[in-house]
Amino acid sequence: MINLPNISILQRLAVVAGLFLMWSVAFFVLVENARTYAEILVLIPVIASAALLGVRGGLAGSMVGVLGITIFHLIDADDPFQLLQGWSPVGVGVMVTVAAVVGYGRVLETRRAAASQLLVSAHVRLDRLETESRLLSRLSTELGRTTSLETIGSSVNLALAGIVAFDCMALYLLDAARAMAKICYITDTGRNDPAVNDEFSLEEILRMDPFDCPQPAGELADSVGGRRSQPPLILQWRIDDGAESLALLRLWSVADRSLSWCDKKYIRSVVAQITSALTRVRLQSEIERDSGVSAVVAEFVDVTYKSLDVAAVVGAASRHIGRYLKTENVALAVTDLDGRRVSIGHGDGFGWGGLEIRRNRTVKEALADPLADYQTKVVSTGECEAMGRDSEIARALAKTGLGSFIVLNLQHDGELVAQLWIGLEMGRAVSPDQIEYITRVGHHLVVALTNAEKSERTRELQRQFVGQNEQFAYVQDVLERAEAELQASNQQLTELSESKTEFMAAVAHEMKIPLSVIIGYADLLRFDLEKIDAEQREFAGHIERSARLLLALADEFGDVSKIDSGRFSVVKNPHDISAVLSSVVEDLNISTTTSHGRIKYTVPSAQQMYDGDSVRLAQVFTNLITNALKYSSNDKPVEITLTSAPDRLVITVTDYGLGISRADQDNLFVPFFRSTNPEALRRPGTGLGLVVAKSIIEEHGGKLSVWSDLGSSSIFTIALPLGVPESQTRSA
Amino acid sequence: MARILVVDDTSEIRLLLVAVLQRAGHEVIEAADGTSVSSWVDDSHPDLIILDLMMPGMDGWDTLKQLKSNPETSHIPVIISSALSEDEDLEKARRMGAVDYISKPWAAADLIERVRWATIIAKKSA
Repeated sequence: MINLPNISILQRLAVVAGLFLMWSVAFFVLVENARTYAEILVLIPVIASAALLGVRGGLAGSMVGVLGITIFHLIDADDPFQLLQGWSPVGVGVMVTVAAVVGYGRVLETRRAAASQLLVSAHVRLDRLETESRLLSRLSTELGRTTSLETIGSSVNLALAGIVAFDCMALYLLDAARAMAKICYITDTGRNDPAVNDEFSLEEILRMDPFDCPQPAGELADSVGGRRSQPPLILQWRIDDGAESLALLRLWSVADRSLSWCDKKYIRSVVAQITSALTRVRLQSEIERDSGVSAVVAEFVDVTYKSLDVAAVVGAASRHIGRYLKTENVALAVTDLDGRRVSIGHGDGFGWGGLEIRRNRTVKEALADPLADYQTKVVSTGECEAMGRDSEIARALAKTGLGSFIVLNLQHDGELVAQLWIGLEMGRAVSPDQIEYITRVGHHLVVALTNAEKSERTRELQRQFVGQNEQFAYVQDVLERAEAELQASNQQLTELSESKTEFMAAVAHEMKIPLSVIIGYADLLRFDLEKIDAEQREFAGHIERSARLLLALADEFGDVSKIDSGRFSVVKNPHDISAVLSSVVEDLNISTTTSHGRIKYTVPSAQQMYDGDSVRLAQVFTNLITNALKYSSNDKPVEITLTSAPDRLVITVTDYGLGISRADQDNLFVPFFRSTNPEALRRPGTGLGLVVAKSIIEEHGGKLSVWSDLGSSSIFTIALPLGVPESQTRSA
Repeated sequence: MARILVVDDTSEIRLLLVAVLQRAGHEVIEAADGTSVSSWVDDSHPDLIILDLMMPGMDGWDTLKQLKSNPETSHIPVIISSALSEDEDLEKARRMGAVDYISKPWAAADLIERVRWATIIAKKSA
């Protein structure tokens, strides 16, 4: 079927004219000769009109045809029934069917046209979506590439203007740190008006009537429609990342159009992109700023931590801060080691001549200043003037005539470590980076100063220590020398002692031969009784006795040398110790001229068997009794007792003579010791007898002790341990 | 009475021994050191020898050893007379065959008594 969707009036008139012509031909044919073919002929214009004019046209055509034929018949025949007969039902049915079919075709065509119309609108929608997608993707690319917040505005404007109908757009960006907003973009202004850069807090902007908001009111009004009135706000979208506000988007439209659902949806997508871009840019700029500041701070750390004394740290820190903040006005006051005074030092070559702060203040004074309450504070000259009445620092700062000041009070463990003042020229603003820098530098400065102080202290201590060390080394040297001398003299003494022992042993042996000769011949004289008289015999006796005394001395020398060299020992044999004691007493009572039977000894009734060296024990008894006789007067007795306990034997020798002082008792058993009592010194003695006696008793496992009362009596006590007799052990 | 050989490097001691022993009725032969002992023994066949220990050249210990190792002389009793009075010396002398040990200085009576005992024992064992 021919599709003629758009036919003009002229074409329609042509069609009607054609139809009229065809009808005329049909009438002519009918009238003349072809009556029976009338229906067929009528069909042609009916189909044509249906084809050309649609269902309605077709039906109308067929109606006209039927009507025309009816009229024709009415004219042609007088009988109306004949007329009815003239129409065959088949012919009418075919005609109506054809008209309906053709007409339905026309309806279908109409529907198709409507569908095509729908398709067109779908295309339009698709186009929009495509546009949206393209714009969004471009926005995404642009925002992804952007690193500064300022360029976001134009990208957003481009993305929105491609779809949404508005006349003016403004994007307010918020500074995260200070919650300040500023217009970063306004449509059509074409320039960055300083007024546009004014900053407002988000709350301020939101509170303001939209028409009072910073917006390009005049210019916009002029450019769109020339009206002076404010264009109506059609959109205000607060952009946030879920937690904090990032930006504010506003759209104005002169036409006061409300936004369609599609527009809002699209704007939502754009906002989502803005959000992510802002978050990313902010994060990125934070990171960048941080790494930038970090590098500078690292440099500061490097410079200051290398300085080992406070003055060097102050100098290095002042220079670094001055360089970074581009000012020469840096002053640093540091608390001294004792934590009492805060003194201001300008560092070498860097200073702030105009600042008149006392060089030396007490920590108390420094802390009393209201400006010391802040850790980090930026103050203007105006604020300083206002505080000037209470604050010495503020007064001094205000006098410098600079624009603004950064004040830092650095503390460590609650103690003031340092105070830092930085002066900036009039009109210079402090950037967040600089604040960040100065805050972080402050922490490091505290550490550097603390380290430097510690280092100074350590060096001071080291200096003291080195001094002490030298003294110590000297004393040690002296001690070592003294020790060496002591060792040498000790060695000499040991050698001397050894040679003395050897000497004594040699003397003891060498004396024996001549003494043997003397004693032998003196003894021999007594054999020749018939040849010498009584007096001569007595002389011989004197010679022999003296020689024997000398011999005893030689024996003592020998014994002491053996004791000294550790070769002294006893040979034990069981014997009757009581008999040994009796024999000694008897011998002394007879032989000694001074005794005259002074020795009193009651011999026990029973034998007292003892396993010991009888010869050596006799030597001990002889020595003790001889001493007792020697140091007591001739009319005083010397009493001997022998008592036995189950585990030991006790022998005492008591005299009532000079007695021995407490001091002398302590030294009694030291070789060659003689009493300090002049009376005792008049008696002959070597100071060796008791030493030998003590050694003999000790070799038996016993003990020789003395008790004495000076000037009245002395008691020497021998205690000998008794081993359990073998027979008793067996019977037991 | 016996023939006694006295061996001592100290002449005073030797003379003293001679004096004491002659008074006791003994015949005394003198030797000043250990080396001459064997010839004296061979020449005079003493009944008893009184021997000093500490002598220059051949000392008493060696002399005693020589006497006791020779079958010709081992039967002659030897009395040691020495200034050494240690128990170990005494014990050593007995082990080596000395019949007695008398420490210097000795008493004349003591010496005579020991000589008498030594000769009696020697006669009994012979």
